[in-house]
Amino acid sequence: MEKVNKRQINWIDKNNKMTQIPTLLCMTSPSVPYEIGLTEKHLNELEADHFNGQLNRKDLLQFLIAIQQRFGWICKDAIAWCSHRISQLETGISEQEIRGIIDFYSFLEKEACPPLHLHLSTNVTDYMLGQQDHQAYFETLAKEYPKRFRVTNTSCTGLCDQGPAALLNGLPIPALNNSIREAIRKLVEEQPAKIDVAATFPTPQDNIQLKDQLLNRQLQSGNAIKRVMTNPAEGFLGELNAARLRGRGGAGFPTGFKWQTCADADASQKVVVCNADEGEPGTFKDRVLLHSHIQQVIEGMTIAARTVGASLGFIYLRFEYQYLLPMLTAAIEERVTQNLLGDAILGEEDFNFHLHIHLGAGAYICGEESALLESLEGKRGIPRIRPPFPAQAGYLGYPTIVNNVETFCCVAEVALTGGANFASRQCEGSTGTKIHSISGDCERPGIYELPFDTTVEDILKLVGAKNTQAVQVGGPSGKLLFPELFHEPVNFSHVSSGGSFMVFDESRDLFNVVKNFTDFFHHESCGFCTPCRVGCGVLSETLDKFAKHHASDDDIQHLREMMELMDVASHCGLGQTAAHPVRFLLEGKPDFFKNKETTDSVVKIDIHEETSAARELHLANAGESHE
Amino acid sequence: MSDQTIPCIELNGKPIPFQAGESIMQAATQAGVYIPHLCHHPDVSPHGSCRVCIVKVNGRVKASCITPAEEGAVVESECDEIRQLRKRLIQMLFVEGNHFCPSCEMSGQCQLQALAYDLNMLDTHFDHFYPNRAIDCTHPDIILDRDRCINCDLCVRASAQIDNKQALSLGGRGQQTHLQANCESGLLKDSGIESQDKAMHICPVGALLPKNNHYPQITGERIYDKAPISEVGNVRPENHQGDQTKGPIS
Amino acid sequence: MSDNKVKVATCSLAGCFGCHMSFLDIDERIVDLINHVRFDRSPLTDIKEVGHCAIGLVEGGLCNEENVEVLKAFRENCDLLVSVGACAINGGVPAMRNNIPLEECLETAYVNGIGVVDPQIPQHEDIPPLLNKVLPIHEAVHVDYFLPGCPPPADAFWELLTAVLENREPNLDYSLRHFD
Repeated sequence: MEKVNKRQINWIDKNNKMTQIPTLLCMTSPSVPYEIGLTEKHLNELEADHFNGQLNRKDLLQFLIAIQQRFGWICKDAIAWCSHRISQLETGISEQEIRGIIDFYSFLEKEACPPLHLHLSTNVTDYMLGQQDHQAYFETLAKEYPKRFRVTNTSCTGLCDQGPAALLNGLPIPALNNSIREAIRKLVEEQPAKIDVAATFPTPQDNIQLKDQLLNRQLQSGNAIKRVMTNPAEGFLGELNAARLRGRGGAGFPTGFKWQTCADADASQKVVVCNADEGEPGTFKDRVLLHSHIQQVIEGMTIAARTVGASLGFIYLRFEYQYLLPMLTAAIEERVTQNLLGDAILGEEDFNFHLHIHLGAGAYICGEESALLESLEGKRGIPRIRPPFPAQAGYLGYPTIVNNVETFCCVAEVALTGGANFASRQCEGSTGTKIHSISGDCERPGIYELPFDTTVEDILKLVGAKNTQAVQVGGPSGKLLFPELFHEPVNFSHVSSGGSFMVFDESRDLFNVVKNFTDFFHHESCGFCTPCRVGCGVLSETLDKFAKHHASDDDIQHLREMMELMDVASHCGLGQTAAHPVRFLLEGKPDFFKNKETTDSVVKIDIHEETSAARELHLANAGESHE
Repeated sequence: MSDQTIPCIELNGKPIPFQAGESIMQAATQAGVYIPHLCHHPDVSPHGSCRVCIVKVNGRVKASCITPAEEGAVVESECDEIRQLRKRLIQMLFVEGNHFCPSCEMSGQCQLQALAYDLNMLDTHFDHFYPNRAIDCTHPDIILDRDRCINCDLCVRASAQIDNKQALSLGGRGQQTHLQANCESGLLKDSGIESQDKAMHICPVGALLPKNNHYPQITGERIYDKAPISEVGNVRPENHQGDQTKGPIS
Repeated sequence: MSDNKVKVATCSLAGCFGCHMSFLDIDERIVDLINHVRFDRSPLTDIKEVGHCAIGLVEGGLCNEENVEVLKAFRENCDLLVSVGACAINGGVPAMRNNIPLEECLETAYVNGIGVVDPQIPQHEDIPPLLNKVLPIHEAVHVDYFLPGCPPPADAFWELLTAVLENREPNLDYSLRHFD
């Protein structure tokens, strides 16, 4: 196409020089050769190594992430190179469109970044464990060494039971404390060429407190597949329906129905995707499953592939969990050598399944399945119009099933022990068990696998929670429960949950909790539809006014209107639930808002704050005139 | 009553026939019933982002431009509840951008403003965001004023689907979502857009404007001075190539 | 002058008095009006402090501290507060400075402006400090009615006042609803 830029890329453009960043060694990865700056040679190598020598449009996001991770940011020339390479092959993509994609994902940077970049997690549980103190410390450090170190914030890192947590150049550091702070300061001061993260910092722990069938399962690789292979491919749908399995990601959609739709679709290619974009604040069970039960996950995916007739698969892994990448890659490679992945699996003709891992780059919305598919195709993660549903037309238009990590573990369990057996553990139609990630004010946070008749009260006893004021079940998009409802069981009929369970005792100001969740949605709204794009801003700014004691009844009214409008008019689940935290608190405990209304019964703006610029200017000028 | 062989929806109490695969918006348009909208245009694919075209379908709120018409569906597009939600949506679009009607070239011809009038919107209701957005005046014939842009994506789709240029796209995320020119510089002058492009004339507000053609009609004579948008439809009057979704409101 | 008359106050904050001018375009109907209302603080009366009124008409947005004080006095004293015109409703033309740093605005006007003699940014304790951003009045106080337009048509003022006097909800026809 004409508009595609074919200019010569000038690699010695002074303004766009890449900063050198130290190679980070994560837990299991081999040492990466140390690179100084980014050159065309590097990009060519990266392309040859990971993208078969030709960067495709759909691989663009993965390529940008690779550049980001290896060089700390994505410079203008790298963007130009990507545009140039992709445009040689197919419909062009301009530099500006690539910049638009970079802007969509929180972890991609198109401005020069210092070699060390710390992202502090901002989930409410991190704050409850003293995040603010660390934030202040690192901001001071960043001011001291602005060219070496940067600190910014990121949404929940999935380390809520071992917070406050952070990511150092993308690798997780749990349980921040003074000695970790000092260690980071030392790195900034000494600028070592290599940093062994695993040796320097604590590593994320599984922290499994209670096991049941899924977490007790030690799967002999291939056993679940072999059992399924005794029947024809569609036969497993019967098992799945007998199991009455519902998706574990939060929405609880019947898995069998989704698979049936995909199986029924007539297409040359079908796709199985594992949604490992565990972004719902307070959820970390998928991280543990990926770390310690990956065989069950992949086995579940492989069974899905056989059942619906898919030969292509992806694990969409959130950026925050990339430290698991070497381990996951090794698991896949091992299964390929065992003929449990690849072509003619275990000798069955036409049973082919090629599994790849794609990384996210910091966008909660990509946990929504159609936004995830957009992201897999290398685009901004905007939820699609439905119908068609992904099971009809998903990744690149192919019928695609997208299921949560835990759902695939359940699939493996159903395959091993049978659908009827799986369904025998049930409560009011919710079958099997549920894995909960529990954090907040309790003695024993961590991972709990529980049957579906477990009540909120039971869980609070198990985890050692005392003087509990409220519990957020299912994350910010779930429910805020007060003691009146603690007798309810956590299952699909009562309190539905994707696995997040955050406990707040009586010392907490629930307004701050709700504000944290609302700000989270504001940060993560994709910006596609009006109700969510603007509504999240209205909610967030209105809560700011309450926080500053400058809100009035009009603001309560605005909150109520947003609650109603966003719920019914938003395009996807993010917008539909973004006002829920406000709703639960406003309807359950309105005093948290009432006691923050303005003390001035008439004027609801802070005149001192609103005139700050004029006063600063006045002072500056007064200073000048004295000289 | 509807013929048994032709499927119908019931729109505001009246049967409206549709063909398989049509959206509620398409069926309504063909029947001459106006459903308010901003991001929809019959010449490009539906988008479903502005949500102004929400209607009640069997009691549930849906965007009519992306909801397939289904036999027997009971659709309400003008009930008080829907009109109130629409008004709030228009107010949200007003506070999100920087819309200063008195000085805007498109005043009186702007579909956002016209919907505000039609929905009896007298105030902006919410606190204004007053965002800081870049204006692009680099093109010899066209101004891109992002202050007025409502991120409806119409120009993006028109450029790709009608002009075959892909001159524009939406970039960024959330409240930072913005219209951008697809080129190395990111400037309109290098995007390939030209003043006769559909992308230029499909803008429902004053975000994409021709240079040197200010205030073409005097106040009082402009299209929405004379009649509400529910009667004349979404029309960009400078070329009178509106989306023909006009028709008397039932 | 009867004490049964409804008291009305008006003021212009960060506005141009254009709305007041438009109000006067009710022409001879002002005679009818004056039989029913008495003006309290208003540019029409030169009363400096607003007393208790049934209706307060506020033109213009908030651009400085004094605007906020006047608005506060109006809200405290008026049973019904009406936001009049584009500037009161969304900041209007004055709010177009909201994306420009205050210092730059002042320097453009008082230092670098064409024809400026003795350039300096005026500063005196009697000059009320400017707000960081020009704000619509409904962001600072509760507002009961809105009259959009730049300016609102005289008939809109007439409809509002007669409606309040007749104890009914004002209803602006399509032709009276415009933002320019």
